Amino acid sequence: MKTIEIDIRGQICPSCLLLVLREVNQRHRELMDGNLCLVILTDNRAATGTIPDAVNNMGIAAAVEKLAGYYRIIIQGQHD
Amino acid sequence: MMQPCGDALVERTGEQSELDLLRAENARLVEANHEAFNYIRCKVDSLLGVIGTRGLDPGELDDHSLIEFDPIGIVALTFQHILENLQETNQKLQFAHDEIQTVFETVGAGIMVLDPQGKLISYNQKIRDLMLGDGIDIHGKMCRDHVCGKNSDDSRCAFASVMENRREQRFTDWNFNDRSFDVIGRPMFDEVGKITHVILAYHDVTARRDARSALLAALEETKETNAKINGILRSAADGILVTDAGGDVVLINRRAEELLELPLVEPDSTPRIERIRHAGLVNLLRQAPQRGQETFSEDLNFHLEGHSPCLCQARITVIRSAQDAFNGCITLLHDVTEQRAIDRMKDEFVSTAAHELRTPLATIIGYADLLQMDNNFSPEQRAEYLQQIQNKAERLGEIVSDLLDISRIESGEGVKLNRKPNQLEKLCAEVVKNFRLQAPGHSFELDFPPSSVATVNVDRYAMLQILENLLNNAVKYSPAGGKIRISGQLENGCCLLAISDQGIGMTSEQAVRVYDKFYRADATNTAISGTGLGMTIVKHLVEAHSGQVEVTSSPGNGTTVTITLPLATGQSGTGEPS
Repeated sequence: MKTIEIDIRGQICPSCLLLVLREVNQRHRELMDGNLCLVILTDNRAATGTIPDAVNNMGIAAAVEKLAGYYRIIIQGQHD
Repeated sequence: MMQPCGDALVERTGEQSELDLLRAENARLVEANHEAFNYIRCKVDSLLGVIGTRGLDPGELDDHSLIEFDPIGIVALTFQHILENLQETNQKLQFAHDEIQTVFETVGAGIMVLDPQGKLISYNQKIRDLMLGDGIDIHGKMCRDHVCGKNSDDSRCAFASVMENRREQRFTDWNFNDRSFDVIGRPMFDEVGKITHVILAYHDVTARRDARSALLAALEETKETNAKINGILRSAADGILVTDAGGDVVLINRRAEELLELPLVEPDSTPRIERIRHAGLVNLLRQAPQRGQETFSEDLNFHLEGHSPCLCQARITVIRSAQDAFNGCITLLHDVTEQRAIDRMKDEFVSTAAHELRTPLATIIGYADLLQMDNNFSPEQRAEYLQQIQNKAERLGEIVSDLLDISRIESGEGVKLNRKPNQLEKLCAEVVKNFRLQAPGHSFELDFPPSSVATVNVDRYAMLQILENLLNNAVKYSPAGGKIRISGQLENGCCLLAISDQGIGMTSEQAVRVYDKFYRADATNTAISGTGLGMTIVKHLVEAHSGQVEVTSSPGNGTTVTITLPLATGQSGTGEPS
């Protein structure tokens, strides 16, 4: 599976949400089919709520991991 | 980049220079651009609000970048994906709903959905079939008015129980309309934990209940039958022992317990054949599989503490499966002590009878040969020989009569009596007269005081047979010169006749058995002839006269046989006629 990592640390919502949505829109089919994993690195706490909610509504699964000083949001596969 | 539009053109006035005109147009354009960007930002913020995030900060994205980034396009495409996802989800939900509806209608259990007040929201076909019947609609009605409270005599309410306990409840054998159900009630909660629905599932277990009742009845019947069979087996006179292939005792009755001295029927234990205290039987059981006989028997001696030894025939039948595998043994222990004793006595009788018949026959043949071979005998000699032949022939006749008598008695024919008033004293005198001639070596004493003279209702020939048998025994078992006393007395309305000798006497064990057929107290003494039937015939004949016989004896001190006979009607029993 292909993995694309996007580092948007330093950016705040909603621009980081729009950035991620743009990427998800462009690669929607690949993500739905499970052929691509999108890894988002962000230090904006609000984004850990808005990004998963938005991509879940689009039918794509998202998981958040807390790392040292930032978050990793993993977007891949279909959301149940 | 925003482009100038027609609205930005400014009409020239007389005093305005070209530069002023351009400046005014530029100001107008800047204002128009500013309004356009505000409009875009306003729309973007509205769209972002819809997807749950705050508005776009102008410091975060300048006007130029706003146009380049195209957030409206991004959000619009996102909405399109969300819409597609919603459509797909709706399709799945519809499919799931159809699936649930199909299950709801076709499942084997009756299902009802109630609201928290107990009002029926929905129910399936099975509920209609089991509880409602055709054409009855109870949607929106209270469950308790149409189900529990109407046709059920069961006070348990699954709905109330679920509402009270707020968790799944199960009732077994809930009764409705003579049917039985297992009921499962389960609550459904909303996001704040409030019960929104109660699902009740009714599983019809009437067939199971009926089957269980039938099974219990059959079990009870089986227990009763088993108890009866056990009762029969346990009280059977023969010992019964059943063992399996592994050597466990699987069935044993009371008689076998006694014979084998096995502390059986111990709770929670299965006795094994090793515990049977009879080595002979244990060996037979162990050899049974290899004997090659399906049934075999052997006589075994049993010496039980506190009991007389007994002889039992162990009849063992091998149990085999359909595949001919050894499955165990059934052993019957039949007490043959008496039977074997009778067999022995019969053997002895055959021997004795042969001897008894041969002796007079030998005499008859001897004298007959003598008379045929020699004609020179004097008339007196011939008369004596003929008399001997007649005596022995009469003896043979007596033996045959005894045998016929005992055969008649044994066959249940009984004794036919021709009872007439007779005086015992006279009958005794008549018999003694003959014995004095036959046994001159013995002395006979008749003792009938006047007070004993009485009349008894007896068959004369039967009475003579009784007296002859008793005097015969007295003569045979007492030495020459011995005195034989025949006495009579009256007592309690009966006549007592006693015949005493001074002979060899008997032990008490022998005296008890003296009435047994073919029994001879001293069978080893072949010098004393006899068939062993005399006392048996005496007892039968006396009892046929409603009398009794009693034997008193001890070794070396002689024997007294007392016969008690009821007096004839009208006799007082004191010796004086009434």
